[in-house]
Order: sequence, then C-alpha cells, then structure tokens
Amino acid sequence: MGQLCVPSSVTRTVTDLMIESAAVDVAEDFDAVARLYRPKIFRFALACLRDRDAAETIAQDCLLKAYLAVHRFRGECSLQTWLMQIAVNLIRDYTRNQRLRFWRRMEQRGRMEGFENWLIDERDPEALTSSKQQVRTIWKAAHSLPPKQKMVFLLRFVEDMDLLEIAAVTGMKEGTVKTHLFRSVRRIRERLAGPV
Amino acid sequence: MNHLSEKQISEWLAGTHRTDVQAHIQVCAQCQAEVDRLSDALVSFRGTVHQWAAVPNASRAVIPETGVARRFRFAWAMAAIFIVLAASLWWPRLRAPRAVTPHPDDDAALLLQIRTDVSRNVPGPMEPLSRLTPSDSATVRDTQ
Repeated sequence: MGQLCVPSSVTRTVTDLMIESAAVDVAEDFDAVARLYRPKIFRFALACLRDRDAAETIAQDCLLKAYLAVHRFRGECSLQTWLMQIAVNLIRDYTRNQRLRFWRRMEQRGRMEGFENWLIDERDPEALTSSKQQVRTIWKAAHSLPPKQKMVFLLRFVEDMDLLEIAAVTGMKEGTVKTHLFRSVRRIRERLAGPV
Repeated sequence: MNHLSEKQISEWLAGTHRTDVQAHIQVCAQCQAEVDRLSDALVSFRGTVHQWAAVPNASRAVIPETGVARRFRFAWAMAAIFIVLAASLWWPRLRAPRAVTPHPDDDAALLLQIRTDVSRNVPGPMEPLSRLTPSDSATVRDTQ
C-alpha cells in the first residue's frame, strides 16, 4: 500500500499560512477586536485588582501588546484566550509590584466599601439585603484567597470560563485548575456559612 | 439517605458535574436547596461585578461612602492630629535644659560668692584698674 507522504516543508508552509491568515484577520480589524474584548479584559482586571485606574491601564497595555504581537498569534487558541493570557501576565506583574505599597492598598480598601450596592435584584427588599450580604462576603473571601486560587475563581465565576479555558489562560494543568477551584469554592462556602 | 458531602458540593459548584451527584440533587430537596443557594450567591456576585465594571468611574463617583469608611478615615485623621500635638508639646521639653535641683553645698558657695562680691570696694570687672591706682587710705596717709 502506498502511503501518502507529505514533505515537512509543505506541512510547515500550510501551518505558516494558517498563522499568517489568523494574524492578518486579527490585524486587519483590530479596532473591532478591541471593541469586543476590551470590556471583558477591563472587567477581569478590575475584579482582580479592585482599582479602576489600574484596570484601565492593564486593559490598554493588554491591547497594545496584542497589537504589537499580532503577527505571533498562531490561531491555536481562541482570540479571547490569547488576550486573557496577556492580561493575566500583566495583572501578575502589577500585583507583584504593588504588594508592598501600603497606602495604595488602604486607598483601595476605602473605595471598595459598598461594592454590593451594585447588585441589581428585583426581589423583595429582605431577599435583596440577604443577597447583598452574600455578595459582600464572597467579595471579601475572594480577595483573601491566595493569588492563584483568586485568579482561577474569578475566571470561573466572573468570566464564566470552563476548566480547559482557564487552564489555557493561566498556563496551569487542568487538574491544577480543578484543585485551585475546589479549594477556593470550599473557602467561599465556609465564609458564607460562618459569621460574616 | 446520605446527603452530599462538603467536597461533593464544592466540586459540583466548581464545575465538576458527576452523574451520581446530579442524580442525587434531582431527588434530594435539601441538597438541591443548598446547591441552589450557593449558585444564586455566585450568580449575584457575577452580576454585581459586571454591573460595577460597566459603569464608568463607578468606584469613585457613585458608590456612597459608608459609615465604616468615614469612621476609618476619621480615625486616621484623629491619630495624625494627636501625633502632631503630642510632638509639639513634648519637643520643647526634650530640647530645654533640665532644671537642676539646688544642693545645700551649692547654696553655701553661692552665698559666699555673693558676700565676696558685695564686700568688694569696686565691682569685679573694674578690679584690675583699681590695682593700678593706690587705695584711698594710702592716699589719705600720704597727704597727711
């Protein structure tokens, strides 16, 4: 039986063409890409950092980096995953730099009071009060989580990503993501069950 | 009937949907209520973050400052004022020379010095000049 042999040079050429095609598609309409994904990147950065200015900067830097590196976008993952990978790295760098800035943290703490007031709920006032209390507890608990657990928790429960997507964005294995997620959910449950 | 364990509920919420857990949730009202309660809380959390992110300049302009935040800021301001006041009161005291308690020997020496000064014919600073001129008694004797 004759076997179809595809020379490696041809395979490479096909792959290269696919990469070029994906990159060209993205580069051609980067405005549309930015319009579509900027709110998502901003929201995730805001949830992680709780600082609107920093989240704006992260979203801006993320799109700039993506634009400059668009020729390296291979199309192996979705555009959203690729952009979120960049955002996650930028947030990690930012968090590392901010860890020792006491006054910045104090300022953020002041700003976050009343976060739960953004809850939109059409139920009766009693249920709304209870929901606000729960949201406040989850918010506080989420920010007391270790950085990796917090990142995974927010990607899952704010951005609604599945385990595989989170693994691709964070560069962790799926099993590791699952463990982080399980631990974070357990911690949140403990906080919701215990005294607030 | 055995209810779902903490681990099973957490895994379910984390997105690991095992068929046996799913089957149990469908028949057990208590576990279903617990899962629904937690799911609702997480959905509310998501909605709040989305809403908060969607409104420009929300954290600074719209969220009202609560009593806790106000008290926190007030406490810092009061602490700062207290530190400044305490420093302004204590600093001059630290810099001022300490008051020396009088000693009996010192008093005696001081009295002796005062007596000596008072009994002088001429003030101390003019003593060198008085030595250059003959004393009054000597002058009187010479003229006689």
